[in-house]
Amino acid sequence: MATLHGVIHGKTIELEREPGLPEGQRIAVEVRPLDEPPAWLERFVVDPTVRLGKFVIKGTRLLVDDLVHLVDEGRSDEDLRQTHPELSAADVDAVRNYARVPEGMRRSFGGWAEDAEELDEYLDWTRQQRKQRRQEIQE
Amino acid sequence: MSFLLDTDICSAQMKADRRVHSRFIQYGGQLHISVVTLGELFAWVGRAKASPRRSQTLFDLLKAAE
Repeated sequence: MATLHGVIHGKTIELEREPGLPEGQRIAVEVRPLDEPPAWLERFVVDPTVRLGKFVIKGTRLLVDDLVHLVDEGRSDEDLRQTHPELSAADVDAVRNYARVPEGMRRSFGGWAEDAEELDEYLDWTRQQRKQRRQEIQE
Repeated sequence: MSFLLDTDICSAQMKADRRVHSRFIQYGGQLHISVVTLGELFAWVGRAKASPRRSQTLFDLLKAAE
């Protein structure tokens, strides 16, 4: 029995090397996520000059959320690249991967970016309050 | 493995910290938030003059965590 690494694309797993088994061999697969952050996320950057707290495709001003919306509408890779010629194949793959991330996780990213300074002040205040109450209890 | 998120980490996700977001994606489905953290986050959302977007963002996060 061998352990092989690969990448999931929907119902298909693309292995990094040949498994060394005959074509048509039935197998059982136990899927376990590797302890690695998603490499495709490197295609995205946060650019405040486009929109504060939201991803754009690296080297462009294209908002990732807008592209995810197109993917959700069923647009093909070819269609996306025709509409936006500045997109590479890796960019489109990254957008497709991001479209599979739960919507709540995508939408919450950067939702408080505009309030970041006020939020930091609030968090500092709550920390001070906790510290003060601990001291009061201990005394 | 499960992860209990504290207020700072939840805030980092919503302030657009890409390293935290990357980990959230990596460990999606294994993220949990305590009632203490929820209390702090809702207190922030409920502050005077807070925009509706602020609460919507928190509800979005709660859809992604347990």
